[in-house]
Amino acid sequence: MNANDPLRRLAQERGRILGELGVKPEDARWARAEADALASLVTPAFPLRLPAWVARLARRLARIGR
Amino acid sequence: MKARRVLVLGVQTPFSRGGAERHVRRLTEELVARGVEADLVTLPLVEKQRFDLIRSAAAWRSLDLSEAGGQPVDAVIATRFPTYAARHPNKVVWLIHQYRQAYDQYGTPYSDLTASPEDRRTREVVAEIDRVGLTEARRIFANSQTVAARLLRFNGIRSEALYHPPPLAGRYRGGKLGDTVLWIGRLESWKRPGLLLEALPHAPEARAVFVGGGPDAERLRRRAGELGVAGRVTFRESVDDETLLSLYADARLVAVTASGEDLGYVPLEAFLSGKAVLTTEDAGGPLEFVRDGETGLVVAPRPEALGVALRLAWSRPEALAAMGDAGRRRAAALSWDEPVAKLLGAAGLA
Repeated sequence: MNANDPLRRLAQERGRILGELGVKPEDARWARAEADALASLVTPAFPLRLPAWVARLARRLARIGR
Repeated sequence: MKARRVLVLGVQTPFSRGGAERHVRRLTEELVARGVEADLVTLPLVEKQRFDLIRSAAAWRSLDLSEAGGQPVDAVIATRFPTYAARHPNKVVWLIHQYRQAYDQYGTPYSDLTASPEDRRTREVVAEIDRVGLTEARRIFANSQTVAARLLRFNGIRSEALYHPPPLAGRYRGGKLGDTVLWIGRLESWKRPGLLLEALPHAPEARAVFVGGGPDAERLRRRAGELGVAGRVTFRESVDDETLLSLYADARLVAVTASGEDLGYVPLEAFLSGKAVLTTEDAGGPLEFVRDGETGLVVAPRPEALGVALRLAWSRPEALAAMGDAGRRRAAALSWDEPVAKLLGAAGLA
């Protein structure tokens, strides 16, 4: 996984947009829902436990987006 | 002259064909009729959880609408929450309505948003989406003064009311004064169809036709039986356009009972069919057209008051016909020329 990975770029874009629209780090549940959706692009058959890196990334990017 | 390319942005409510859906389709058609290369872009808004509202806004924000098919898009016209979250350097908004549950409906039985932390954040984020999406537009229009006033009151954002004719303009026709009061809309709480139903015992001559489906349909049918008026009430879940035109033409008058309606096509459709409108003091948008004693009857939102108005409608047919004529003159003045010209003008495409 590198910085140009399409999923990572999508996560960055979505995190920035959510931040722009007012979503904050305290909205952890929403960040998790977003991360879950992104994770499903990678592991569609593995919905119960999303990759921790995606959840961390989405939360961090939502903060950056602010 | 270079072709002007415009995208109309609408929310799709799957399996539903409400006023908003018809409005964006008609707007697109009217733009095309005036030589604009226009198309409609819709995304569904399905609310299963609070985050779906924000997710939908983010989806609109994610779109790159600056070009399509290798050609630039000259402007977008956003119409309702959350379409105006879309980014475009030449965005014009013609606001049908905001997410009302977060604003004027909050704290009423018509909003399911509570004081919970998640719902509080939902309201805050909806307001932020509105601020971001609306204030970056080149110009904001509203489809009624009621919608414009709400936007100013809750968001401090100014807009100009821009009226337009109802969907079947040019096809409505008058008819004799019939023996039914017509009600059209979704059978749900804030539309208050029950107000008219509960009024019928107070007006023994009146018969009512309800057109529309919704979550309150079964309850209303049961209630008609309990009130002893089932024999005077007809429910029709959906009708085609021709049947709708006939129902208007054959009605005695048309009732509009919703509380705080944005604009509402029904009064305008009634007027273009030469029918007076019975509505309530808290109707919102309809009151921009319905004047008590001139184009209809405006009463308190109580069944007894509607009942009195219905008795009047059945005892004074000549006055009712005069009100319908006055309404027709008022509504006939509306055309698509003005809104289309103003929208294109705001986008620098006139």
